[in-house]
Amino acid sequence: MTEIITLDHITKRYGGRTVLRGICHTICRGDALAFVGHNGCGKSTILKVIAKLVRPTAGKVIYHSPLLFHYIPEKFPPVSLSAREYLLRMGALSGMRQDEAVHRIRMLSEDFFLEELLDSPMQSLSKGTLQKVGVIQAILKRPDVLLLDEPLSGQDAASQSVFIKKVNQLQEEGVTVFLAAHELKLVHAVAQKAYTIKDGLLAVYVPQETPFYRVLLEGNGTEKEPEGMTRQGRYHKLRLAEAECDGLLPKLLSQGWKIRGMEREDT
Amino acid sequence: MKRIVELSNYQLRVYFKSSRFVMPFIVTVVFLAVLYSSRPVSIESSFALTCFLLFGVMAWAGYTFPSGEDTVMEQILFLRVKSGLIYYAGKSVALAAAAVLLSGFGILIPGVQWLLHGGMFFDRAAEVSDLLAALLLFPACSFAGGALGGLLHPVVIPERKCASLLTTLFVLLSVIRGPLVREIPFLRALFWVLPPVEGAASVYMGTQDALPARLTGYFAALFLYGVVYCVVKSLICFYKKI
Ligand SMILES: Nc1ncnc2c1ncn2[C@@H]1O[C@H](COP(=O)(O)OP(=O)(O)OP(=O)(O)O)[C@@H](O)[C@H]1O
Ligand SMILES: [Mg+2]
Repeated sequence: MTEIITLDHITKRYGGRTVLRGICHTICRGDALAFVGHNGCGKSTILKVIAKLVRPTAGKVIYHSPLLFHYIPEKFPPVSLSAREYLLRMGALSGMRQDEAVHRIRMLSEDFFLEELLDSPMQSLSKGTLQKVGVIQAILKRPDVLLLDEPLSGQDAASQSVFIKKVNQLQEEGVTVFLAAHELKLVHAVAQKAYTIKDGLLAVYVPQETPFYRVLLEGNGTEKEPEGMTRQGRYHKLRLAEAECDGLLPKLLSQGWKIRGMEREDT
Repeated sequence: MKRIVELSNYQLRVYFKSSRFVMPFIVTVVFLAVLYSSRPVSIESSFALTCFLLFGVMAWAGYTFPSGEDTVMEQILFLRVKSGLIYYAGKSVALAAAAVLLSGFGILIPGVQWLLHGGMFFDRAAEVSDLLAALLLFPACSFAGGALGGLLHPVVIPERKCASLLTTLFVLLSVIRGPLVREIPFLRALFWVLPPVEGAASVYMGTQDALPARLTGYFAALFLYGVVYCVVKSLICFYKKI
């Protein structure tokens, strides 16, 4: 494994608040790391520090060779161009030939169901569509490092799975991936290692030992709510440990409750 | 080099598709149209006025230029070109190109009038040296103005009200610096930071001795001031933001 980036005692303070506290870490080519954690814990900050977009208050980021970073931000901003023109210009900036860029843009916009919207001005695109333009600009040309900051925000399910496939493919080709995300589905689909940032320190993220499940139930209005059940829209929500599920759920079903959804809780 | 050109190309595209450029350009065209609406026009004074106009309008355009920048998009561009040098050079080249474009009006409008009137438009016969002076000093004044306006970038002075006042002050002081220094000589020690537009605008008045040398001198000086402003701004932005 070739080492490409070393974080050497990185500390980042904003005002009086320490967001990152002396983080040391070495990243190898082809690694795929994810950062998870609460809002404001420093996920975006660490991505920007790694790319040297933000200068750490103390410590150094060392690249062992020159690296090309491409970046999908949390909120991709529109510019006063059409999506196609923007992407063509980005291709040219990346040193792609015109025909090569045109071809890539056509392929990727088909993959992401975007062909018809390519010629609309970016300012008129919906949030999810705009985010797709952000995704395409980042994978137009293969970078050395891909920074993904909640890359899927607002995208439809089909585009999400296309995106996951593309990122996995790039990673097999040796692209190093950093991901900041809340959706654990995405974290599991993309990253080999996940970290949480807690009190400014990196900790290996361990999924819960005994998972909990969130169950959505529908009643006919006459059943008495069992303890711990809360209303959620037109349904009722129940949070159960794995071991409880098999015993309690059949009982509820026999009382006339209907299961409308079940989801593993992963935080 | 290719990346610098591509980046400045991109910047100009985005700029001219936005509404930021409209007002400065309209003001320039209207002002020039009025200036050259009645015959006969004095070459010397219209030359001086055009220099000041281009300087001031480009300062305005350079000042408003970054208001359309989005931090995140700038970060994407910065990473894409891989180098701060290319990134900031690309922006400066875009500014210079916009300056050249704007100063084109300063030559085009009187040029058209001159052609329409069969060469009988100015108070004296126009000479090649007049065209040469315009070709050299109009773009130079525009560029110096644009760079001066861009100097107080939001990253340099986040307080925009203060920045706009300072920019206006700098522009005015540059324009009246000659008479001011003659009245109060010690101001010379402060005013060297401002570009010599006043001198360039009046290069024509009075003696015609060594005109080509003085023209190139002013051109070089204004260009250099512009470059230095761009470098200073880029360095401050680079160290403050990143
Ligand atoms: N430019 C800035 N100036 C001041 N404080 C900042 C700045 N950028 C980030 N912060 C602070 O640093 C902390 C970490 O921010 P960051 O954006 O990294 O969080 P995050 O983990 O990405 O959160 P989210 O899940 O909401 O995206 C926050 O408390 C934020 O307020
Ligand atoms: Mg974030």
